[in-house]
Amino acid sequence: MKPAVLLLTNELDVGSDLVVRVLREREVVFLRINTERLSARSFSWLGGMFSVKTPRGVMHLDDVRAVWLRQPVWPTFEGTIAETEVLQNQWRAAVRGLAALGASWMNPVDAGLAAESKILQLATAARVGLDVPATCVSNDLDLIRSFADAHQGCVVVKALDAPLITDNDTSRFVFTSRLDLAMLAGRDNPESVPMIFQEEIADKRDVRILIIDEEAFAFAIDADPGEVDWRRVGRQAVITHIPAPPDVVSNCKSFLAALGLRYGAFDFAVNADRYAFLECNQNGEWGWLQRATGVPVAGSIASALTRMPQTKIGRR
Amino acid sequence: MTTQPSLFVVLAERQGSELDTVAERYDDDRDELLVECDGIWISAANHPDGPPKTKKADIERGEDIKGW
Repeated sequence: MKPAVLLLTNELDVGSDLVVRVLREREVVFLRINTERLSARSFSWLGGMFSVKTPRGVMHLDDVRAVWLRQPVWPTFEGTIAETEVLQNQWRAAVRGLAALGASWMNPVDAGLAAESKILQLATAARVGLDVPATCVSNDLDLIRSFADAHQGCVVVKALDAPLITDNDTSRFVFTSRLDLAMLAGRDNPESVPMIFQEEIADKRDVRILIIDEEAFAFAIDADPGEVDWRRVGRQAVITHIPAPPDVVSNCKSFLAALGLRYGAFDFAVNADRYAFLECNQNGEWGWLQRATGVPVAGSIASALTRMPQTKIGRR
Repeated sequence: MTTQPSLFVVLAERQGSELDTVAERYDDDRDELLVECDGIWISAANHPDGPPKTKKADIERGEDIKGW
């Protein structure tokens, strides 16, 4: 059996389950590889062909036309942390090598990695015409105070990179918060790490726009209007499918094109007609939006994976 | 080397029930779905390890965790 679609994900990814369900309904031949199990698999590249051995038999990947890269998790190994990192890197390299399939990736590995940079996102968003709130990324407390003064103190602070700290069984998360200048008093300058300081969009409504190739789906996430970060209220947020302004959608598509992406989850703070760009997550979650509204995001992703391209793109 | 805790760490908040709640919502779906077990598609309920436990940090916050 030669799969036409390859899913590279992890065992616990429910979004992948939702896409799998659609692919099965449509009788698409696909292979899902849960990457944390790769070390228990035979994976080979021989004579220019990839193959993966499964209990069902050897799966040859030479007919794969589309790859969905969805939050791979890497195998764990016995040994030191350094050894584990190096061993995991071997699997990263093997998976990156699948670029040689000449398939269309959603999203391409290198483009996705680059797009994780929030600074690049903000710069790209401004370049394509999205409305970007005034933003300062810094660890210089003097500069941060000046920035806050320039915005009458109405500034939020958020993490520049992954905001989750996991210690054993507990985790802590850096939500977006209002900057309290008193918090900076008496602190050594510079701060040990830079953070994002951004003009606060007052009385905002959160909107997430999903772009999947040419399709767009917009969702309003309504929480306590006084809450800067709706994620703090979690389940209380009300999710609604809404129409998205065509000009914003067009700019989102330009953003993805500029970064070589096919999928993006764009977050906006919306006040009246102002769509203020916050970030674009190239691997952003959508299952909870489909669940709340019935909008067939999984179907759209499945369609994107199966409609193109009919011929392989040039091999590297 | 500074001895003060980073502002980043000062702002970090303990995670609590809302993440569990999100995981519960997904778990409702999960039982109806199929998951892969060593290359074979089986019902999650028949997974040899039992239905997968939803890793809360990988769901709602999954977007913030580097896969690569």
